[in-house]
Amino acid sequence: MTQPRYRKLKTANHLQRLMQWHYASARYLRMGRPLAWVSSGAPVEILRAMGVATVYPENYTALCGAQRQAVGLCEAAEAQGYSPDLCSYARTSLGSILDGEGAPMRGLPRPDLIVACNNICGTVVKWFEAAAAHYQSPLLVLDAPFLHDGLQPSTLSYVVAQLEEMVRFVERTTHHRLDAVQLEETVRLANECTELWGEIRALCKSRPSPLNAPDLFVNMAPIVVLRGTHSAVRFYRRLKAEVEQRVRDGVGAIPDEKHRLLWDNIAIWYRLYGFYNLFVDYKACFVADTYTGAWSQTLPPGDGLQGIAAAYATIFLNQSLEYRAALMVRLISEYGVDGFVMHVNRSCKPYSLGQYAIRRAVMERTGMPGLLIEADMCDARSYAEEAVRTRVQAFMESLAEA
Amino acid sequence: MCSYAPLEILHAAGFTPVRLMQMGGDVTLANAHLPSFSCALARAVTERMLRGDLDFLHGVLFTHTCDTLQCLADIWRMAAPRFRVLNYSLPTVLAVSPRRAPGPNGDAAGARDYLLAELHRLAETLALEFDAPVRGDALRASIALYNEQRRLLAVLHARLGRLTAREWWPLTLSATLMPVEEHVRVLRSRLDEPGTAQDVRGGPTLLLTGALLDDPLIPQVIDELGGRVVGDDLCTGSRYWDTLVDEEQEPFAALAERYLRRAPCPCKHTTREARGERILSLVRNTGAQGVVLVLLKFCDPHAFDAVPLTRALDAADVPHVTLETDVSAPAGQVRTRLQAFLEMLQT
Repeated sequence: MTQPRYRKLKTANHLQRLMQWHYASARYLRMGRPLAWVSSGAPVEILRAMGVATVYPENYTALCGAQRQAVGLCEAAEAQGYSPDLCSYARTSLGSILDGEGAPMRGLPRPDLIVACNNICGTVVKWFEAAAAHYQSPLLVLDAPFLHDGLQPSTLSYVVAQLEEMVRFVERTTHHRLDAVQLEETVRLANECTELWGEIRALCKSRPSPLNAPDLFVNMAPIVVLRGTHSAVRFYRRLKAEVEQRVRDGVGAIPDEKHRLLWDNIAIWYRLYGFYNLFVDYKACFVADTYTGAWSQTLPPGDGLQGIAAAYATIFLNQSLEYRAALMVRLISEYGVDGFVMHVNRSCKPYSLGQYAIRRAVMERTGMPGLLIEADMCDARSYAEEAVRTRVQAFMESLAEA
Repeated sequence: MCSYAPLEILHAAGFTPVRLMQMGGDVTLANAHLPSFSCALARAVTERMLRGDLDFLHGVLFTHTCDTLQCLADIWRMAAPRFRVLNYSLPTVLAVSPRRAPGPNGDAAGARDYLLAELHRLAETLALEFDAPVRGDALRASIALYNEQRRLLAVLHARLGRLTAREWWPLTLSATLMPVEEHVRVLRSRLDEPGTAQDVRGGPTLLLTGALLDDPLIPQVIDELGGRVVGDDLCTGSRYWDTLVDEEQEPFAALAERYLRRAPCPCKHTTREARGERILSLVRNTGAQGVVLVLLKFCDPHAFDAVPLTRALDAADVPHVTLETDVSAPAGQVRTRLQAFLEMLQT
């Protein structure tokens, strides 16, 4: 695999051990705890507080992508009739269900229950329906209506009603009860974790930036899968200390940083270093991104389900294109960015279909150039190596001249 | 743009609702606003909007259906600020099985209250932004009119075997393209005439399923090859007219009830009845010999559903064929696949 052409983090080894422990314990060390499959935007704090172990098919499929194992699994799903135009996370996941022996870690362990929240996309509903049908597992779909114009009171009550139903659903399927003190403690740990993550991302405002986007993509795994646990808090404390040290020492993620870029959309997992190295050639560092910030929203403490509902209903991908454009404009000014790159991701319609409109708006409001790269997050067959290289070169040369 | 749009409310506020469909034509301008993997429907209607073909409209109502329409509503707001874009966001989770239901009627948690609030919010928006209030008596009259249209469409549907596809198709498609009063008149007069296809033709009988059937090629080819459409599960077909609104109830509550109960689209989550079961019962009731799945290229919800649906059809030994329609794809493929399918049914 291509190596990063910039400074490696010492914390990388801890990350690897933490993730190995997470996947191994989900399979072998659950000590009788039921296992839930959850979508990345589902309120995991409730499950954790109720003593339910969790795994994230989205994180698993991203790992398959990064290990370049996703294409074979996509093909297994396509052989069963799933269209190659569908989301490659979904195809990778369904392929690993149908062909467990050929999948990394032999796929995910069988779920006792499944929770999907459509605050990130409608695809998780159909994908998790298929998984639930395969395993005959109880499935709860949480409906967080898309917010074209902010959160309405009726939308909030609707999501709260569903979280109350989620508690009853978990009680029915696992016979575990929700303990208010346990929920409060889980929310506190989750908030500590998201605050640390937010602080680490904010450290990239320094010049040179201590981290490049692939660092964030790799190190976001615990915030997704272990949010609300002590081990995630410990990991991010350690990571933050290392990043702070870099800032104090004036050490950048890439040598001799010249250009500062903003990234939009999910990572290109199978070219995690190969693709970003193209930019390192021009001394360009991705100092901010819209993707890993999706997990930096804290939950109002002491507010129970109401606060959880408000936070999960208003996540980044559940908000209007105007909201997303405004966020990018803000990141550009806060991080001193001089150009942005948008991954037009064939697999993610909610993230990608509006990018042309956002690009125009952001360019108009900031004067910064924006590059569109069409590719896919997991399916390497959609990556046109030469075309991507040419586009990146043309963009970076014009940025260097500007 | 979607069969879940509460047309009764728009009509009662004095609007003439028109459903936006593909209608053919090249897509060029829209390519600057949508990536190549957007569905043909999104690209075609955006093209017509950018060309100014839709300037006769007072506004566009987007109904939350799929990820694509969700983005499209905002893309239109940003690309064409002159357009009045309204959003109506009905629940994704509709009825759940009575065994699991928290509510008394098999409702998903909170879904009825939320849907009711959205219907009222739409009516308020029409009153505030268009000075077009929805009065209770007007809404009752609109509900009665649309119920009449749905009843007539159901009668038409029962006689499908006696109509050619090209006779039946414009009658159902125009339900949301022309003023409902006129459509009801056309349906009444059409139902008085006998059909021309007649049972004597005796070609293979088909059930069509998919999203909207706005491509004239498919009915045309079915006729040319001697097939007969005897039933459908399309959102320009039976999913549009399935289930009437209760005229005795308070009108907003009655509308909410209908939209929770009608046959669901694959964008919706329901545990009440799998879509495969519904299609199989339609096959049994209509006596269809084969099922034609019409999939719009890049339509995710239907593409996901096609897998369990074709499995259910296989398990019940019901022959099926999938037609992937794409404005840029050559028409020959649809014809070849349908021809092979109809020949297979005849042997």
